[in-house]
Amino acid sequence: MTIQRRQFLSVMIGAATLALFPGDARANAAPDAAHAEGVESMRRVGEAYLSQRPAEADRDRLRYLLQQDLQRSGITLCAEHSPAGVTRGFEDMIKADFAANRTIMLDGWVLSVTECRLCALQVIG
Amino acid sequence: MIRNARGLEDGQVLQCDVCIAGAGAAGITLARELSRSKLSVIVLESGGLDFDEEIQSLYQAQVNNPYYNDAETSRLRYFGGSTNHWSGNCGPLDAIDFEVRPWLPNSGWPFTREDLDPYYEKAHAYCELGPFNYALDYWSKQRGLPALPFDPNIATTGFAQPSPPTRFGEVYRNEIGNSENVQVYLHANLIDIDLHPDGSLVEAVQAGQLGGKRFQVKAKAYVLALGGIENARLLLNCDKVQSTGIGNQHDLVGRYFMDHPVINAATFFLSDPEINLELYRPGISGSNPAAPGPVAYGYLTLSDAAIRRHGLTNMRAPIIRTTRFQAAEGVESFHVLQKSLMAGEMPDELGVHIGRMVRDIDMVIEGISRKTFNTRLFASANDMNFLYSDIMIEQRPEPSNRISLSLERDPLGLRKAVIDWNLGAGDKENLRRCLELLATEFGRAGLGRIRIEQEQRSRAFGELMSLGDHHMGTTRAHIDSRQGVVDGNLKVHSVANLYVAGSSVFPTGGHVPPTLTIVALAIRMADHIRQKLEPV
Repeated sequence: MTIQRRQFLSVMIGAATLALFPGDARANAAPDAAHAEGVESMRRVGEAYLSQRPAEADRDRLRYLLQQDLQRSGITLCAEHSPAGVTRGFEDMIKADFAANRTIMLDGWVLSVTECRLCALQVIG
Repeated sequence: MIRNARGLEDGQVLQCDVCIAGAGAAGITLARELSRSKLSVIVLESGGLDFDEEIQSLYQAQVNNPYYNDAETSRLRYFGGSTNHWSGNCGPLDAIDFEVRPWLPNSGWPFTREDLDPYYEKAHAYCELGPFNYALDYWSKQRGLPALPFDPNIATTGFAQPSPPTRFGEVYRNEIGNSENVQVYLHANLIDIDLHPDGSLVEAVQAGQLGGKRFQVKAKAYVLALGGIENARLLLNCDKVQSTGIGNQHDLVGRYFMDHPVINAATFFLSDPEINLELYRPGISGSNPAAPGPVAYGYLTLSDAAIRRHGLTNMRAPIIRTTRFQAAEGVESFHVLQKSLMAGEMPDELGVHIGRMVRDIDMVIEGISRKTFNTRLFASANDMNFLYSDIMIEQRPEPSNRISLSLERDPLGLRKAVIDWNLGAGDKENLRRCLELLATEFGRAGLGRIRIEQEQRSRAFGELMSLGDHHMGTTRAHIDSRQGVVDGNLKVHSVANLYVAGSSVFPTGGHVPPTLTIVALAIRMADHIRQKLEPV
């Protein structure tokens, strides 16, 4: 374990947001070396999730499921979306997942379904 | 008075009301309690006032598990017993630990936590602890520190209190030595128990020194307070009248041997580094000028409701700060790889291990440097920014974990102990389920994430596992003689005047170090013996 792994949680949402919105300017940013370990953990979680739920191993399907999750959080995706708003929406979804026990243990992490889908999207996105 | 048994004559017979074998936490507490009675008491202690290698070697045993601790070093055989090296972590068992838990075979004590509470309160004074109060609200207010905001139906904060630690042999030596009705004989080993031919009564015990004289003690009541392994070993050795050993008509003596495995199984990742964890930082009794007086410190545990709902055994998860070096997965992977290659094997997930080593290459080099050259290289290795937990779990009582006898004999002529101890699949699965619940609640509370390491670390239940050296269960208490060696008064079912003190009577062990409970039970036993024997 390295200290970079502590970045896992923050990296996950940011990276997956990029995968959801590839046109976003942040997508062109070079990955932060300090986040490399977080990205690696994400990849392992994403792969484990997809092997458990192969039906979701499709970029469009995952985007659809995540967008549905976001809409349930009151976030509507449109051309004028606010990245910060999207991030907040995911954070709310993750909290709601934990409150409703929508969690999965993958690669040693107990994560919300939304987090796992974000990781999976990063793998196939 | 404290005497040396070497001064006794060969064949001498001593008389008293109560004979106690063993002067550890249980024996000393019992003797001190009875010193205030009208009863005459003799205490037989194998050792002297200090450590002696030859006497200590009487603890040699055959251990059938490479990961279980050496029985010769995990306990101490001289006045004060293992309190001469204990760390002092104290607390009472939880109320649920005393219950018959339908999901946990062989659970259930013959009395409740409420029954034991008055004795726990007195035991606090013995162990030089603070108030007998383990309530979250009390300690949070007392220390002015917040607890983590868990749903009380799932998880909670439990508390431990640190004893200085009390060295019973030093702290209570003068008081017992000055007692008129308590005689302590040092270098006096209990060698045999003479039962009446019908097996219902102890008539005398045989004692002696290493390579020396033998003598006899005749009493109205006898108490074995030899420790969790030795109590069973002695009963099994005494097979002149009952061929399977005293109290062993139902093949229970020595079985259900338990310990507290400590598993490095979880890493905490906080969502906010400013989360206040001071309540969970171990304190030293009375030494903090900002919070004078005894200090309790918190650990994470599951609520009774969650334990019942999910059919779990008890556990505690302290939050421990550690260094980057100690936490580095690459170092762990290096050990796994090294061990596998030396055995001519390829480890599972070779790529993962190599990846971790590459990421933690500085810490791997640090480890090699420390081990090979005794030199530290990287200052960052000592960064204390990592949080992990050594989980202490309640082991399931299993009859296959047991103390039995070897054919080999010790210098006193007693057959040595054989220790069979294993952590079962049920215990490992229980730990995983407990941690999954705790990790889910940690996330729900917005505190961050807990990563469960046991899936990642093949050595977690092997060389990385440590043990509390809390030897429990080998003379378990139960009201039914078919399910317990001793009854609710901790008297051997089949023998009218033979008692057993110490953690060997625990039917289950909770997640709590046993000393406070041992002391509480000894005080309770003293009350019982006084009521039974003391002239009105």
